[in-house]
Amino acid sequence: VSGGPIDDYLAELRRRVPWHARGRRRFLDELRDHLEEAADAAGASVAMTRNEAEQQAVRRMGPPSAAVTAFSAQAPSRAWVPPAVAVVVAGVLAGALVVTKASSSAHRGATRAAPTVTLAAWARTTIPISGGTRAMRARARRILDGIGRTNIVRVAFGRPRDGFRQFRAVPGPIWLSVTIGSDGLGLRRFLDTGPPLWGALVFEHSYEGTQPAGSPSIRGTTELVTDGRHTLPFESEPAGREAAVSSPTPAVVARVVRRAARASAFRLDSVRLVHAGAGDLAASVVLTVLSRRDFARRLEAFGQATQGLSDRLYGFATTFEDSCGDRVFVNGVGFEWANARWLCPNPFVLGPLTSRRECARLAREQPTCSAAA
Amino acid sequence: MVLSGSMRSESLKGHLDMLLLATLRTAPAHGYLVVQRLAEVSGGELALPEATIYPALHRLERAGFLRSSRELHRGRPRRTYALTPAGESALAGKREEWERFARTVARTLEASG
Repeated sequence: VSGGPIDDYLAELRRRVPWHARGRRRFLDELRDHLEEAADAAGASVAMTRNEAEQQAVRRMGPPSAAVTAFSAQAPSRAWVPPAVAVVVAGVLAGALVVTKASSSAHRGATRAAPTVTLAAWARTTIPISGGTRAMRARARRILDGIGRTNIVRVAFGRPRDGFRQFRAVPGPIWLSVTIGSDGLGLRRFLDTGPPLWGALVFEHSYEGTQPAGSPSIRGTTELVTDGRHTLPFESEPAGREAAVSSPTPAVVARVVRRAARASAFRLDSVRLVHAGAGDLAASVVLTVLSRRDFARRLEAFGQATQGLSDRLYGFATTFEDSCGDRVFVNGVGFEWANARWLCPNPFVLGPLTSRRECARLAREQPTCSAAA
Repeated sequence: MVLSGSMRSESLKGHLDMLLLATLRTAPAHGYLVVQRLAEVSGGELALPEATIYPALHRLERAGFLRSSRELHRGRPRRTYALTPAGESALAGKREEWERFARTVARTLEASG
Protein backbone atom coordinates (compact mmCIF):
# COMPACT_ATOMS: atom_id res chain seq x y z
CA VAL A 1 0.00 0.00 0.00
CA SER A 2 1.52 3.32 -1.00
CA GLY A 3 -0.32 6.04 0.83
CA GLY A 4 2.48 8.58 1.16
CA PRO A 5 6.00 8.93 2.55
CA ILE A 6 5.03 7.67 6.02
CA ASP A 7 3.29 4.59 4.67
CA ASP A 8 6.21 3.90 2.34
CA TYR A 9 8.73 4.24 5.17
CA LEU A 10 6.78 1.91 7.42
CA ALA A 11 6.22 -0.57 4.61
CA GLU A 12 9.97 -0.67 4.09
CA LEU A 13 10.53 -1.33 7.79
CA ARG A 14 7.91 -4.07 7.77
CA ARG A 15 9.82 -5.78 5.02
CA ARG A 16 13.10 -5.51 6.89
CA VAL A 17 12.13 -6.23 10.48
CA PRO A 18 11.51 -9.97 10.88
CA TRP A 19 7.84 -10.64 11.46
CA HIS A 20 8.61 -12.90 14.40
CA ALA A 21 10.84 -10.39 16.18
CA ARG A 22 9.58 -9.66 19.64
CA GLY A 23 8.31 -6.13 20.04
CA ARG A 24 8.03 -5.61 16.28
CA ARG A 25 4.46 -4.44 16.35
CA ARG A 26 5.00 -2.04 19.22
CA PHE A 27 8.07 -0.61 17.52
CA LEU A 28 6.22 -0.02 14.26
CA ASP A 29 3.19 1.41 16.03
CA GLU A 30 5.32 3.88 17.94
CA LEU A 31 7.13 4.94 14.81
CA ARG A 32 3.82 5.55 13.08
CA ASP A 33 2.56 7.63 15.99
CA HIS A 34 5.81 9.58 16.00
CA LEU A 35 5.77 10.20 12.26
CA GLU A 36 2.17 11.32 12.22
CA GLU A 37 2.70 13.70 15.10
CA ALA A 38 5.85 15.10 13.51
CA ALA A 39 4.09 15.55 10.17
CA ASP A 40 1.14 17.25 11.85
CA ALA A 41 3.48 19.60 13.71
CA ALA A 42 5.44 20.43 10.57
CA GLY A 43 2.30 21.01 8.56
CA ALA A 44 0.81 23.22 11.24
CA SER A 45 3.83 25.46 11.77
CA VAL A 46 5.01 25.97 8.18
CA ALA A 47 3.11 26.33 4.95
CA MET A 48 3.68 22.80 3.76
CA THR A 49 1.62 20.24 1.91
CA ARG A 50 0.81 17.05 3.77
CA ASN A 51 3.20 15.16 1.52
CA GLU A 52 6.05 17.58 2.23
CA ALA A 53 5.36 17.42 5.96
CA GLU A 54 5.49 13.63 5.85
CA GLN A 55 8.71 13.70 3.86
CA GLN A 56 10.32 15.92 6.48
CA ALA A 57 9.13 13.68 9.30
CA VAL A 58 10.54 10.62 7.54
CA ARG A 59 13.89 12.36 6.90
CA ARG A 60 14.26 13.10 10.58
CA MET A 61 13.65 9.46 11.41
CA GLY A 62 16.84 8.58 9.57
CA PRO A 63 17.26 5.81 7.00
CA PRO A 64 15.27 2.60 7.51
CA SER A 65 18.55 0.73 7.87
CA ALA A 66 19.40 2.76 10.99
CA ALA A 67 16.05 1.91 12.54
CA VAL A 68 16.38 -1.77 11.69
CA THR A 69 19.94 -1.93 13.03
CA ALA A 70 18.93 -0.25 16.28
CA PHE A 71 15.92 -2.52 16.65
CA SER A 72 17.86 -5.70 15.88
CA ALA A 73 20.67 -4.78 18.24
CA GLN A 74 18.41 -4.19 21.19
CA ALA A 75 15.43 -6.48 20.64
CA PRO A 76 15.24 -9.35 23.10
CA SER A 77 15.26 -12.90 21.90
CA ARG A 78 11.95 -14.42 20.97
CA ALA A 79 9.87 -15.76 23.79
CA TRP A 80 8.15 -18.28 21.59
CA VAL A 81 9.35 -20.13 18.55
CA PRO A 82 6.72 -21.17 16.03
CA PRO A 83 6.81 -24.85 15.23
CA ALA A 84 8.65 -25.85 12.10
CA VAL A 85 6.11 -28.51 11.32
CA ALA A 86 2.73 -27.36 10.18
CA VAL A 87 -0.04 -28.24 12.58
CA VAL A 88 -2.97 -30.16 11.23
CA VAL A 89 -6.01 -28.10 12.02
CA ALA A 90 -9.10 -30.03 12.77
CA GLY A 91 -12.15 -27.92 12.27
CA VAL A 92 -10.74 -24.96 10.40
CA LEU A 93 -12.73 -21.83 11.04
CA ALA A 94 -15.18 -21.31 8.25
CA GLY A 95 -17.21 -18.47 9.68
CA ALA A 96 -16.24 -15.05 10.87
CA LEU A 97 -16.29 -15.98 14.52
CA VAL A 98 -15.78 -19.12 16.51
CA VAL A 99 -16.00 -19.39 20.24
CA THR A 100 -14.28 -22.20 22.03
CA LYS A 101 -15.62 -22.48 25.54
CA ALA A 102 -13.52 -24.58 27.80
CA SER A 103 -15.55 -23.94 30.89
CA SER A 104 -18.23 -21.60 32.06
CA SER A 105 -19.29 -20.16 35.37
CA ALA A 106 -22.82 -20.79 36.43
CA HIS A 107 -23.58 -17.11 37.02
CA ARG A 108 -23.05 -16.25 33.36
CA GLY A 109 -26.45 -17.37 32.32
CA ALA A 110 -28.49 -14.30 33.14
CA THR A 111 -28.30 -11.74 30.36
CA ARG A 112 -30.93 -9.04 30.22
CA ALA A 113 -32.51 -8.19 26.90
CA ALA A 114 -30.65 -5.34 25.27
CA PRO A 115 -32.49 -2.09 24.60
CA THR A 116 -30.88 -0.89 21.42
CA VAL A 117 -30.39 2.31 19.53
CA THR A 118 -29.34 1.99 15.94
CA LEU A 119 -27.56 4.81 14.15
CA ALA A 120 -26.15 5.01 10.66
CA ALA A 121 -23.85 7.72 9.41
CA TRP A 122 -22.39 6.25 6.27
CA ALA A 123 -24.34 8.60 4.07
CA ARG A 124 -25.76 11.99 4.88
CA THR A 125 -29.23 10.75 5.54
CA THR A 126 -31.37 11.25 8.59
CA ILE A 127 -30.25 8.71 11.08
CA PRO A 128 -33.01 6.95 12.95
CA ILE A 129 -32.36 6.83 16.67
CA SER A 130 -34.44 4.75 18.97
CA GLY A 131 -34.17 3.13 22.36
CA GLY A 132 -32.21 4.40 25.34
CA THR A 133 -33.34 7.49 27.21
CA ARG A 134 -34.36 10.84 25.76
CA ALA A 135 -31.09 12.38 26.98
CA MET A 136 -29.09 9.60 25.35
CA ARG A 137 -30.85 10.05 22.06
CA ALA A 138 -30.36 13.80 22.12
CA ARG A 139 -26.72 13.40 23.00
CA ALA A 140 -26.22 10.80 20.30
CA ARG A 141 -27.85 13.12 17.77
CA ARG A 142 -25.55 15.99 18.71
CA ILE A 143 -22.49 13.76 18.47
CA LEU A 144 -23.45 12.34 15.10
CA ASP A 145 -24.31 15.75 13.74
CA GLY A 146 -20.89 16.95 14.81
CA ILE A 147 -19.00 14.07 13.28
CA GLY A 148 -20.06 14.79 9.72
CA ARG A 149 -19.37 12.11 7.18
CA THR A 150 -17.90 9.12 8.93
CA ASN A 151 -17.47 5.48 8.30
CA ILE A 152 -19.59 4.43 11.22
CA VAL A 153 -22.29 2.23 9.78
CA ARG A 154 -24.03 1.12 12.93
CA VAL A 155 -24.11 2.02 16.60
CA ALA A 156 -26.11 -0.03 19.03
CA PHE A 157 -26.79 0.73 22.68
CA GLY A 158 -27.79 -1.94 25.09
CA ARG A 159 -26.66 -4.06 27.98
CA PRO A 160 -23.07 -5.24 27.74
CA ARG A 161 -22.38 -8.83 26.93
CA ASP A 162 -22.24 -11.22 29.80
CA GLY A 163 -18.46 -11.27 29.70
CA PHE A 164 -18.27 -7.57 30.59
CA ARG A 165 -19.35 -8.10 34.15
CA GLN A 166 -17.55 -5.08 35.52
CA PHE A 167 -19.63 -2.78 33.36
CA ARG A 168 -22.86 -4.63 33.98
CA ALA A 169 -22.81 -3.34 37.54
CA VAL A 170 -23.53 0.17 36.24
CA PRO A 171 -27.27 0.88 36.00
CA GLY A 172 -28.86 1.86 32.72
CA PRO A 173 -28.20 0.95 29.13
CA ILE A 174 -24.47 1.47 29.10
CA TRP A 175 -23.38 -0.74 26.26
CA LEU A 176 -22.49 0.80 22.94
CA SER A 177 -21.50 -1.28 19.97
CA VAL A 178 -20.01 0.45 16.94
CA THR A 179 -19.63 -1.15 13.55
CA ILE A 180 -17.22 0.58 11.20
CA GLY A 181 -17.04 0.32 7.44
CA SER A 182 -13.92 1.49 5.69
CA ASP A 183 -12.01 1.40 2.45
CA GLY A 184 -8.98 0.80 4.60
CA LEU A 185 -7.28 4.16 4.25
CA GLY A 186 -9.43 6.25 6.50
CA LEU A 187 -9.83 3.90 9.41
CA ARG A 188 -6.72 4.86 11.30
CA ARG A 189 -7.51 8.53 10.90
CA PHE A 190 -11.04 7.85 12.00
CA LEU A 191 -9.87 6.12 15.16
CA ASP A 192 -7.50 8.99 15.85
CA THR A 193 -10.18 11.60 15.34
CA GLY A 194 -10.58 12.07 19.04
CA PRO A 195 -13.25 14.17 20.68
CA PRO A 196 -16.30 13.49 18.50
CA LEU A 197 -16.10 9.73 18.83
CA TRP A 198 -14.83 9.66 22.38
CA GLY A 199 -17.66 12.02 23.25
CA ALA A 200 -19.97 9.09 22.95
CA LEU A 201 -18.42 7.84 26.15
CA VAL A 202 -20.10 10.63 28.07
CA PHE A 203 -22.90 8.21 28.65
CA GLU A 204 -20.95 5.05 28.17
CA HIS A 205 -18.40 3.07 30.07
CA SER A 206 -17.38 0.91 27.20
CA TYR A 207 -17.83 0.35 23.55
CA GLU A 208 -16.74 -2.30 21.20
CA GLY A 209 -16.43 -1.92 17.49
CA THR A 210 -16.78 -5.12 15.59
CA GLN A 211 -15.80 -6.05 12.13
CA PRO A 212 -18.72 -6.61 9.80
CA ALA A 213 -18.86 -10.34 9.22
CA GLY A 214 -17.45 -11.28 5.86
CA SER A 215 -16.05 -7.84 5.12
CA PRO A 216 -12.47 -8.00 3.87
CA SER A 217 -11.90 -4.26 4.22
CA ILE A 218 -11.31 -4.13 7.95
CA ARG A 219 -9.24 -6.47 10.01
CA GLY A 220 -9.36 -7.13 13.68
CA THR A 221 -11.58 -5.69 16.34
CA THR A 222 -11.66 -2.36 18.04
CA GLU A 223 -12.46 -1.98 21.69
CA LEU A 224 -12.21 0.78 24.23
CA VAL A 225 -11.87 0.62 27.94
CA THR A 226 -12.20 3.65 30.13
CA ASP A 227 -12.14 4.37 33.82
CA GLY A 228 -14.12 7.54 33.21
CA ARG A 229 -11.09 9.74 32.71
CA HIS A 230 -8.71 7.72 30.59
CA THR A 231 -9.87 5.99 27.45
CA LEU A 232 -7.64 3.72 25.49
CA PRO A 233 -8.42 1.94 22.24
CA PHE A 234 -7.77 -1.60 21.15
CA GLU A 235 -6.04 -0.76 17.91
CA SER A 236 -7.04 -1.72 14.46
CA GLU A 237 -5.39 -1.12 11.15
CA PRO A 238 -6.54 -0.98 7.56
CA ALA A 239 -6.20 -4.12 5.54
CA GLY A 240 -2.97 -4.78 3.71
CA ARG A 241 -0.66 -3.00 6.14
CA GLU A 242 1.02 -6.16 7.34
CA ALA A 243 0.38 -8.52 4.52
CA ALA A 244 3.81 -10.11 4.97
CA VAL A 245 2.99 -11.33 8.48
CA SER A 246 1.58 -14.82 8.54
CA SER A 247 -0.93 -15.61 11.23
CA PRO A 248 -0.59 -18.67 13.41
CA THR A 249 -3.21 -21.33 12.96
CA PRO A 250 -6.14 -21.52 15.41
CA ALA A 251 -4.69 -24.72 16.80
CA VAL A 252 -1.37 -23.03 17.53
CA VAL A 253 -3.13 -20.12 19.22
CA ALA A 254 -5.09 -22.48 21.43
CA ARG A 255 -2.04 -24.54 22.33
CA VAL A 256 0.20 -21.60 23.21
CA VAL A 257 -2.50 -19.95 25.30
CA ARG A 258 -3.28 -23.23 27.07
CA ARG A 259 0.35 -23.80 27.95
CA ALA A 260 0.86 -20.22 29.10
CA ALA A 261 -2.24 -20.43 31.30
CA ARG A 262 -1.10 -23.69 32.85
CA ALA A 263 2.41 -22.41 33.49
CA SER A 264 1.08 -19.23 35.11
CA ALA A 265 -1.56 -21.08 37.15
CA PHE A 266 -4.56 -19.39 35.53
CA ARG A 267 -7.66 -21.26 34.47
CA LEU A 268 -8.35 -20.89 30.79
CA ASP A 269 -12.04 -20.21 30.22
CA SER A 270 -12.28 -19.36 26.57
CA VAL A 271 -10.33 -18.56 23.45
CA ARG A 272 -12.32 -16.56 20.95
CA LEU A 273 -10.85 -16.37 17.49
CA VAL A 274 -11.81 -13.77 14.94
CA HIS A 275 -10.97 -14.30 11.30
CA ALA A 276 -10.20 -10.79 10.16
CA GLY A 277 -9.83 -11.60 6.49
CA ALA A 278 -6.84 -12.27 4.26
CA GLY A 279 -5.52 -14.97 6.58
CA ASP A 280 -5.36 -12.68 9.60
CA LEU A 281 -6.42 -13.88 12.97
CA ALA A 282 -7.23 -12.03 16.19
CA ALA A 283 -7.78 -13.72 19.52
CA SER A 284 -9.60 -12.77 22.69
CA VAL A 285 -8.83 -14.90 25.72
CA VAL A 286 -10.65 -15.09 29.04
CA LEU A 287 -8.94 -16.59 32.08
CA THR A 288 -9.89 -17.02 35.71
CA VAL A 289 -7.55 -16.06 38.52
CA LEU A 290 -8.13 -18.59 41.26
CA SER A 291 -5.52 -17.32 43.68
CA ARG A 292 -4.07 -13.94 44.61
CA ARG A 293 -0.67 -15.44 45.29
CA ASP A 294 2.08 -13.83 43.15
CA PHE A 295 -0.60 -12.41 40.89
CA ALA A 296 1.53 -9.68 39.32
CA ARG A 297 4.40 -12.05 38.69
CA ARG A 298 2.13 -14.68 37.14
CA LEU A 299 0.46 -12.03 35.03
CA GLU A 300 3.82 -10.98 33.68
CA ALA A 301 4.81 -14.60 33.09
CA PHE A 302 1.65 -15.14 31.06
CA GLY A 303 2.39 -12.03 29.02
CA GLN A 304 5.91 -13.19 28.30
CA ALA A 305 4.79 -16.69 27.38
CA THR A 306 2.30 -15.31 24.86
CA GLN A 307 4.38 -12.40 23.55
CA GLY A 308 5.57 -14.26 20.47
CA LEU A 309 2.04 -15.32 19.67
CA SER A 310 0.71 -11.82 20.26
CA ASP A 311 3.20 -10.36 17.80
CA ARG A 312 1.96 -12.68 15.08
CA LEU A 313 -1.73 -12.09 15.67
CA TYR A 314 -3.66 -9.19 14.29
CA GLY A 315 -4.99 -8.54 17.76
CA PHE A 316 -4.60 -10.31 21.10
CA ALA A 317 -6.78 -9.34 24.03
CA THR A 318 -6.73 -11.05 27.42
CA THR A 319 -9.29 -10.72 30.17
CA PHE A 320 -8.61 -12.06 33.64
CA GLU A 321 -11.57 -12.56 35.94
CA ASP A 322 -11.86 -13.62 39.54
CA SER A 323 -13.87 -16.63 40.64
CA CYS A 324 -16.99 -14.45 40.81
CA GLY A 325 -16.60 -13.40 37.20
CA ASP A 326 -15.56 -9.83 38.03
CA ARG A 327 -12.83 -8.39 35.91
CA VAL A 328 -9.38 -8.35 37.41
CA PHE A 329 -7.13 -7.35 34.53
CA VAL A 330 -7.76 -6.56 30.88
CA ASN A 331 -5.05 -6.27 28.30
CA GLY A 332 -5.53 -5.43 24.63
CA VAL A 333 -3.19 -4.18 21.97
CA GLY A 334 -3.63 -0.59 22.96
CA PHE A 335 -4.94 -0.63 26.48
CA GLU A 336 -4.60 -2.14 29.90
CA TRP A 337 -7.04 -2.00 32.74
CA ALA A 338 -6.57 -3.39 36.23
CA ASN A 339 -8.98 -3.90 39.09
CA ALA A 340 -7.60 -1.75 41.88
CA ARG A 341 -8.41 -4.42 44.44
CA TRP A 342 -6.00 -6.77 42.73
CA LEU A 343 -3.27 -4.70 41.19
CA CYS A 344 -2.81 -1.28 42.65
CA PRO A 345 -0.38 0.40 42.55
CA ASN A 346 -0.13 -1.19 39.14
CA PRO A 347 3.47 -1.92 38.13
CA PHE A 348 2.55 -2.07 34.46
CA VAL A 349 0.88 1.28 33.84
CA LEU A 350 1.19 4.94 34.73
CA GLY A 351 -1.56 7.30 35.67
CA PRO A 352 -3.99 7.17 38.54
CA LEU A 353 -3.22 3.58 39.43
CA THR A 354 0.25 4.53 40.64
CA SER A 355 -1.06 6.53 43.59
CA ARG A 356 -1.86 4.59 46.76
CA ARG A 357 -4.52 7.10 47.71
CA GLU A 358 -6.13 6.79 44.31
CA CYS A 359 -5.80 3.02 44.55
CA ALA A 360 -7.77 3.00 47.78
CA ARG A 361 -10.48 5.14 46.23
CA LEU A 362 -10.67 3.03 43.08
CA ALA A 363 -10.68 -0.19 45.06
CA ARG A 364 -13.81 0.93 46.89
CA GLU A 365 -15.58 1.24 43.53
CA GLN A 366 -14.87 -2.31 42.50
CA PRO A 367 -17.40 -5.12 42.98
CA THR A 368 -17.38 -6.51 46.49
CA CYS A 369 -16.99 -10.08 45.30
CA SER A 370 -13.44 -9.24 44.29
CA ALA A 371 -12.69 -8.16 47.85
CA ALA A 372 -13.68 -11.53 49.19
CA ALA A 373 -11.65 -13.46 46.62
CA MET B 1 16.92 15.80 15.12
CA VAL B 2 19.39 14.95 12.38
CA LEU B 3 21.21 18.23 11.95
CA SER B 4 24.28 19.07 9.94
CA GLY B 5 27.23 20.21 12.02
CA SER B 6 25.80 18.67 15.15
CA MET B 7 27.23 15.86 17.27
CA ARG B 8 27.54 12.70 15.23
CA SER B 9 25.21 9.91 16.14
CA GLU B 10 28.14 7.53 16.71
CA SER B 11 29.39 9.85 19.46
CA LEU B 12 26.02 9.80 21.10
CA LYS B 13 25.36 6.10 21.12
CA GLY B 14 27.38 5.46 24.25
CA HIS B 15 25.49 8.15 26.10
CA LEU B 16 22.02 7.60 24.74
CA ASP B 17 20.79 5.81 27.86
CA MET B 18 21.90 8.66 30.09
CA LEU B 19 20.34 11.26 27.80
CA LEU B 20 17.03 9.45 27.64
CA LEU B 21 16.88 8.89 31.38
CA ALA B 22 17.79 12.53 32.01
CA THR B 23 15.12 13.71 29.59
CA LEU B 24 12.47 11.61 31.27
CA ARG B 25 13.52 12.70 34.74
CA THR B 26 11.66 15.98 34.38
CA ALA B 27 8.35 14.38 33.45
CA PRO B 28 6.94 11.31 31.67
CA ALA B 29 6.78 11.68 27.90
CA HIS B 30 6.07 9.77 24.74
CA GLY B 31 8.81 9.18 22.17
CA TYR B 32 8.13 12.20 20.02
CA LEU B 33 8.17 14.47 23.04
CA VAL B 34 11.43 12.91 24.22
CA VAL B 35 13.01 13.83 20.90
CA GLN B 36 11.62 17.35 21.13
CA ARG B 37 13.01 17.83 24.60
CA LEU B 38 16.42 16.50 23.62
CA ALA B 39 16.50 18.90 20.69
CA GLU B 40 15.45 21.83 22.84
CA VAL B 41 17.83 21.34 25.72
CA SER B 42 20.77 20.65 23.42
CA GLY B 43 20.03 23.60 21.19
CA GLY B 44 19.81 21.18 18.27
CA GLU B 45 23.32 19.82 18.81
CA LEU B 46 22.33 16.21 19.40
CA ALA B 47 22.17 14.33 16.10
CA LEU B 48 20.48 10.97 16.14
CA PRO B 49 18.12 9.27 13.72
CA GLU B 50 14.89 9.65 15.64
CA ALA B 51 13.78 6.08 15.03
CA THR B 52 16.71 4.76 17.02
CA ILE B 53 15.45 6.06 20.35
CA TYR B 54 12.58 3.56 20.47
CA PRO B 55 14.66 0.40 20.73
CA ALA B 56 16.66 2.20 23.42
CA LEU B 57 13.49 3.11 25.31
CA HIS B 58 12.29 -0.49 25.06
CA ARG B 59 15.60 -1.78 26.36
CA LEU B 60 15.60 0.65 29.28
CA GLU B 61 12.09 -0.47 30.11
CA ARG B 62 13.10 -4.12 30.07
CA ALA B 63 15.97 -3.24 32.36
CA GLY B 64 13.48 -1.76 34.80
CA PHE B 65 14.72 1.82 34.43
CA LEU B 66 11.58 2.98 32.68
CA ARG B 67 7.97 1.97 32.70
CA SER B 68 5.45 2.69 30.01
CA SER B 69 1.73 2.85 29.48
CA ARG B 70 -0.70 3.78 26.78
CA GLU B 71 -2.25 7.14 27.48
CA LEU B 72 -4.24 9.65 25.55
CA HIS B 73 -2.24 12.63 24.37
CA ARG B 74 -4.25 15.32 22.56
CA GLY B 75 -6.90 12.77 21.83
CA ARG B 76 -4.48 10.20 20.48
CA PRO B 77 -3.24 7.07 22.19
CA ARG B 78 0.47 7.27 22.87
CA ARG B 79 2.91 5.07 24.75
CA THR B 80 4.28 7.23 27.52
CA TYR B 81 7.53 6.51 29.34
CA ALA B 82 8.42 7.43 32.89
CA LEU B 83 11.49 6.98 35.04
CA THR B 84 11.32 4.32 37.75
CA PRO B 85 13.20 4.52 41.06
CA ALA B 86 15.74 2.10 39.57
CA GLY B 87 16.07 4.47 36.63
CA GLU B 88 16.72 7.36 39.01
CA SER B 89 19.54 5.42 40.61
CA ALA B 90 20.95 4.41 37.25
CA LEU B 91 20.87 8.00 36.06
CA ALA B 92 22.67 9.18 39.19
CA GLY B 93 25.37 6.59 38.59
CA LYS B 94 25.76 7.49 34.94
CA ARG B 95 25.86 11.17 35.73
CA GLU B 96 28.61 10.64 38.28
CA GLU B 97 30.52 8.51 35.81
CA TRP B 98 30.14 11.13 33.10
CA GLU B 99 31.28 13.97 35.33
CA ARG B 100 34.36 12.02 36.40
CA PHE B 101 35.12 11.23 32.77
CA ALA B 102 34.61 14.85 31.68
CA ARG B 103 36.85 16.14 34.49
CA THR B 104 39.56 13.67 33.55
CA VAL B 105 39.44 14.63 29.88
CA ALA B 106 39.47 18.33 30.73
CA ARG B 107 42.49 17.93 33.02
CA THR B 108 44.31 15.92 30.37
CA LEU B 109 43.64 18.51 27.68
CA GLU B 110 44.69 21.34 29.98
CA ALA B 111 47.90 19.56 30.87
CA SER B 112 48.75 19.05 27.22
CA GLY B 113 48.42 22.77 26.63
